[in-house]
Amino acid sequence: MKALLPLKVFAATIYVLCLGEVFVRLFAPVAIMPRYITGTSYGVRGNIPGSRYKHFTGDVSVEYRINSAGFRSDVEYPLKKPEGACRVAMFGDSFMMGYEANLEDTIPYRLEHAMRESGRPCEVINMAVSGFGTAEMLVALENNGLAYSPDAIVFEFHRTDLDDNVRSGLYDISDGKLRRVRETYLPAVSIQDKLQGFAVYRFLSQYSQLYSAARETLNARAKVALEYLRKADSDAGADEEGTANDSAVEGSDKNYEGRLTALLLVEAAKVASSHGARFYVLDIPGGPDRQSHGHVTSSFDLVDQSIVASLHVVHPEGELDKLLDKGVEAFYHKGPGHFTPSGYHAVAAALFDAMRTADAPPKREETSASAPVDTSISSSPASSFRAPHPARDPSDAGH
Amino acid sequence: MLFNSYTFAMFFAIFSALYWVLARRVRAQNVLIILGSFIFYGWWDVRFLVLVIVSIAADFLFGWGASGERNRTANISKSLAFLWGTSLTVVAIAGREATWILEWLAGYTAVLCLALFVFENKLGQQARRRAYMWASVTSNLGILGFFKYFNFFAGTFEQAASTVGWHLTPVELSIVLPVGISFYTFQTLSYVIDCYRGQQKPAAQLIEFSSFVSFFPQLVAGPIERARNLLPQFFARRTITLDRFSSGVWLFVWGLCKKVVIADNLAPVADMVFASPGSYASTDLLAGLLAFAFQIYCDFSGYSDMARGTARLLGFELSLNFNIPYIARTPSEFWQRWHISLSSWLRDYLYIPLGGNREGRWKSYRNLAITMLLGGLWHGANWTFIAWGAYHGSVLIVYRALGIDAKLAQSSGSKAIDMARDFFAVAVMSVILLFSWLLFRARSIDAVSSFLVGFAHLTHGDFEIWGFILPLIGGLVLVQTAQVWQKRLEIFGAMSGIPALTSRALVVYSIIFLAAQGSRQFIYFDF
Repeated sequence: MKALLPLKVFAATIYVLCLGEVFVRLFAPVAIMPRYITGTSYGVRGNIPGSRYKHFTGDVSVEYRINSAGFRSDVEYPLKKPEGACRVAMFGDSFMMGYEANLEDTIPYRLEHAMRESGRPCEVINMAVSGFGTAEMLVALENNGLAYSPDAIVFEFHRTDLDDNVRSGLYDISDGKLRRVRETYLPAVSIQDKLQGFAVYRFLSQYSQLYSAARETLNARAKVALEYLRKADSDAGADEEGTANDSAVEGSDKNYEGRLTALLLVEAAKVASSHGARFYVLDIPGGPDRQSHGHVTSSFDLVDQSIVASLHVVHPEGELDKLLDKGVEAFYHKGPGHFTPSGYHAVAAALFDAMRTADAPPKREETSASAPVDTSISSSPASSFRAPHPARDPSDAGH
Repeated sequence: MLFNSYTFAMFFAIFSALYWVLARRVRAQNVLIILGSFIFYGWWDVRFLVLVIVSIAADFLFGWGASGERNRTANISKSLAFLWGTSLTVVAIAGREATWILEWLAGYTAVLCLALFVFENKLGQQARRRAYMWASVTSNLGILGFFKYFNFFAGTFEQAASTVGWHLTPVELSIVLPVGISFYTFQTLSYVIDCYRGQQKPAAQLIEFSSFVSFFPQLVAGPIERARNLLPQFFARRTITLDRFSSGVWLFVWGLCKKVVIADNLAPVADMVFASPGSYASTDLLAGLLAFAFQIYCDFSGYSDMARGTARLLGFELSLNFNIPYIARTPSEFWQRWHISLSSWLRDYLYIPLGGNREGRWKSYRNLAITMLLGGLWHGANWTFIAWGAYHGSVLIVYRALGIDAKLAQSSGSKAIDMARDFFAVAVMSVILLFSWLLFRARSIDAVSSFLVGFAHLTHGDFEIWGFILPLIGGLVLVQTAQVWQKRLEIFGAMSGIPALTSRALVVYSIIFLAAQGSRQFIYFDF
């Protein structure tokens, strides 16, 4: 009987796991959204080159195809830009990458399509990586994006970036200035690289709701634990300084996140400008809820506005609200809440419109896709996104 | 510290490791229990600990005196040293703003010493025993009354006075209710009364008595233990077998599941409906009421299971506090199944001393009414709790007057008829209980009226709330049906083979994937 014990344990384990799979599918269904992420030579995460995988949410099932350079695309982009061609490099997280959307519905794809339709064809490269914050985008821009000689650079901004930028620890603020403090940020990448070598893992991550639910639960718990430790740390710091006031500490945390993010965006704008590329920030708003009376709400308002006053920020809230007013869903609800195809189209339209009118002085603007076409744009597609003049040091602005 | 928190998980992991390292040294384990219990309780507010310390120090002496023994100098010295040593530590931890506690403690010590002097030197044995017993009642109920009822009675008195033209200056103190004060107060009170009645020998050692009063698994929300059950366990060597360990773990896990999966998921529904009953259809109001009935049951019985499971993992056995109360056919059956430790406390220390049912029908009704009124008041200082107690008292009296318990105890000769009759009795009892939970949960008598008006409209909503609450309640009903079927409450620890694997896995999966977000305090911590 003892000889049968390992077999019994194995059979019991398989039984319990199968039961768990049935349980989760019946009572706590989750989206299956594996991330095919690996480390890059420049120390941050990147999509696994050449990977193909699927996401299954309660709303959609989507296939992702990653090219040999790690971009979501069916096209391979040569490093050297063809003579006279125009290129836009787009950075962001899962929203920019186009989670829960087919390739044809993603923001970069729609933007490229709109430019071609408007008679100014331009390559739009989707350099987004799910989970990225602004800090990782900046590292990816400097180490990879610039090599493609973009004429315009778009950084997506989502409210989760505030937290991500602090958690990554790649940059901090020293004497009011941005400072690089860490060379790499590759959370759990080495473990995932090893796991990707196992066919069983790949199968589970692709098809098991139990695995997805367990991973999400663990992630959430880990984030709570990290947040708890960080708060304990800042409380201790506050105590040492004799300012043991919870709300004050929390408030200063939020201010710090907002300032750090603002400085990162300003730095990215500076990098773009020094390479002659226009720089845009695309605000990804929060979905409608009771507090916002059914309207979307800007994420960018959470960033320190005194620092980013000179940036060209694209606000697609108006476009999204128009959809919602017509009763069209702009966000999915069953999965993690990315845009529907209509939502992605609306955001892409707002971005296209803002880029067309980019000669206007930088200011916050509610854009409209129906705005008249700007005829002042040069006939050369590339020149239309070139920075008209070297930008002044944006970090001088505001403070 | 909540059982359903990471803090408790860490605390218990460290505590139990140290505890079992000291397995051969009972006294050292008891000292560790006191230390651990003080950390556990002090986690809410370290100042509250002083009340537990006072209760321990005073009732240790009162117990000796009430039993007829003389309080020797050694006992008094130990008790006062404990009172002041631990209180000074508490004040040192709490900081400067807690120094007022020392002034209060000095006053209390002076009164205590004076009482001890008078009792020991001026009274005969019988008078001394009685004096010690009443001193314990006065001290415990005085502290409980002050912290729990001062504002309520001051406010009520002021209102009553104003109706006859006396306008008094309102006296309202900002008194915070110390967690679990009603539980440990009743536990020490029953100990002294049992000593007085000769049913309990006084605790020989202060350390064991302190462990008994402060034992953290049941300190803040019961079960309210009788000294004769728990106190001897602190003198015996504790052992743990694989079976006991397994049953303790599964008792805790099932309690945790009831709390975090069922009670905490039902809580927002009940909160929402009770917050503005006027804006819901009758069917939604019923769903909200049902949600609260199962929330409070799973919250409290879940805590009791976790307490018993935790105690068992430390080698102790606490008494049963809940026994599937919602299958009760009559109110008296219900009180033998719901919060058993409080019901039996009220029976033994209130109902029977009042005369019980020994002095004729009408006096037994009176005694029932008084007992249930005070039982309602025990839950909190609010007219809705008094109404709740009065309602339960009335229902008990009606059932007793009609002799329903006796009728249900007789068989009709047909199993089918008996089953149908029992089913009908449970259904009627369920309606009675639902109304009682309305009185219990509503913030005011006006809120009760507004709920009843909503019911009377007989409107129906979109049944969305029902779709949410029924699967949660259904899961519980399934488990309790199995418990009734197997005639066993601890089914998870007792099963084997595939059924054990399946049921345990389902409970664990429920906790992992269906638990409500965030730790929510137990309802009975407020009582």
